[in-house]
Amino acid sequence: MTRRLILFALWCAILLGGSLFAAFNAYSFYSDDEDRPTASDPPGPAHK
Amino acid sequence: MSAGRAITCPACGGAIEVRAAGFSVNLACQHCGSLLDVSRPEVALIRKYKRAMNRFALEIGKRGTVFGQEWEIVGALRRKDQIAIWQEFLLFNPYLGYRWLVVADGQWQFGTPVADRPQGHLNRVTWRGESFGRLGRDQSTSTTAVAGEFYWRVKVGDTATATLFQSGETILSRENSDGEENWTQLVPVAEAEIENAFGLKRRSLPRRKAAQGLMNFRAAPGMEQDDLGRMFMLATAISLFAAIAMALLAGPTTKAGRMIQVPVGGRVDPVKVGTITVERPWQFVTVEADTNTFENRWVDLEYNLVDRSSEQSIDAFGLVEHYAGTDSDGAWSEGSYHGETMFGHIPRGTYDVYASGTAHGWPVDPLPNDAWGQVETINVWVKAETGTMSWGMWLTLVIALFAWPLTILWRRYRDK
Repeated sequence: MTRRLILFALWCAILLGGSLFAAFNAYSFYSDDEDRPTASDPPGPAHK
Repeated sequence: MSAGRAITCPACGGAIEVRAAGFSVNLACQHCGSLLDVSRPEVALIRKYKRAMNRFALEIGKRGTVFGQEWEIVGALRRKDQIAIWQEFLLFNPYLGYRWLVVADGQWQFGTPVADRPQGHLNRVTWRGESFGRLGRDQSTSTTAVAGEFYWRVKVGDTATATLFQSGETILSRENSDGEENWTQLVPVAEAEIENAFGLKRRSLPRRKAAQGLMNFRAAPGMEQDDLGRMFMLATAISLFAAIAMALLAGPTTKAGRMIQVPVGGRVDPVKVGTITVERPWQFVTVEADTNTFENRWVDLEYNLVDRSSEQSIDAFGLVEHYAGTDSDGAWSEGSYHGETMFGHIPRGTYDVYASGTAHGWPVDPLPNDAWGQVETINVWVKAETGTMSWGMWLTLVIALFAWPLTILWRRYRDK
């Protein structure tokens, strides 16, 4: 097993651990809490 | 050291010194790169070139001491396999014969031709009482540049099949070419020793990442380059495992839903959609909104999860919009009749789900349809659900997992 592969395995372990922690606590970068969609972008088509 | 022999290049007329006179049979002119036959007194032109290939990390003709012996660099090769580029230097000492210096990825190895052929099978050989295990697959190598003199006929385009065997830091390299088999013992040598011995043109070193998969360096610490497949397999396995684990951690599921009618140009006050239960300490709650078809309208939706025990409300918002029109390019449309909103980090409890909304026309609200003031409405089917997982988080994980091996793969092909 190479040093590079060991580092990659560590990277995988960190990512997996973080993902499972987030899943257990229902954290997501993409949740919409308190985020009103039209607050930042006014409604209407983006078509030019 | 040996006395050289001065010759004149029959291609360009340049003066050349044959450093290993009597041993060398092949010489690449340092001035024009033409290949010459120097095995006989009369120099013969084998192949004419117009430009010498001088981009090597060590200079031909330099003398220096490696492992306590003095060597002169008489030849240099640039070679590659499917994924790597490296340089090999032929060293000569008239009393000791020939040796090799091989450089790739900043690592140097000193090579000694092996006369007593190792014994063994496909995956393991024995040499001088030591067992060597095979490293990776056979690699097809080719020569891309030649400079200096050699004791065999060498030219650009020569190919060979190389196999490596390792024991500790020592590598045995087996090369098959035109039915001939050659073995070389390779041991690591410090770059500082090479620099002290011969000087080093660092700008001409093979690019570090170009050396991935290099046949002669796989066994050096941290240099095993045949791990990319394992990285992809590991990333795939963890992606699948994470999807299953995240789905299991998201559950269990409860659902509630109902349809609400939102007047265009008006609003609908909060309507109870139903009751859901968060059974785990924390769960995601997803609210989906699907509407009937419309054009040039948008619906702003507000959702409230009201905790029955504390009467506290957690709020989030959704949007459904769809537009269509015609311009000089023809008809266009954008938007969707579906919207999805995800509540994160919702604590355990029972929640009443409320939905309210406003709908509007674009660019302005429409007028009432008839004299009775009847207004257009949009039907919105709202569905709230616990136990969903965040696919965005999973996709982020997958991208982060595969970024590493994909970057290595990209750099390999870029360097190639």
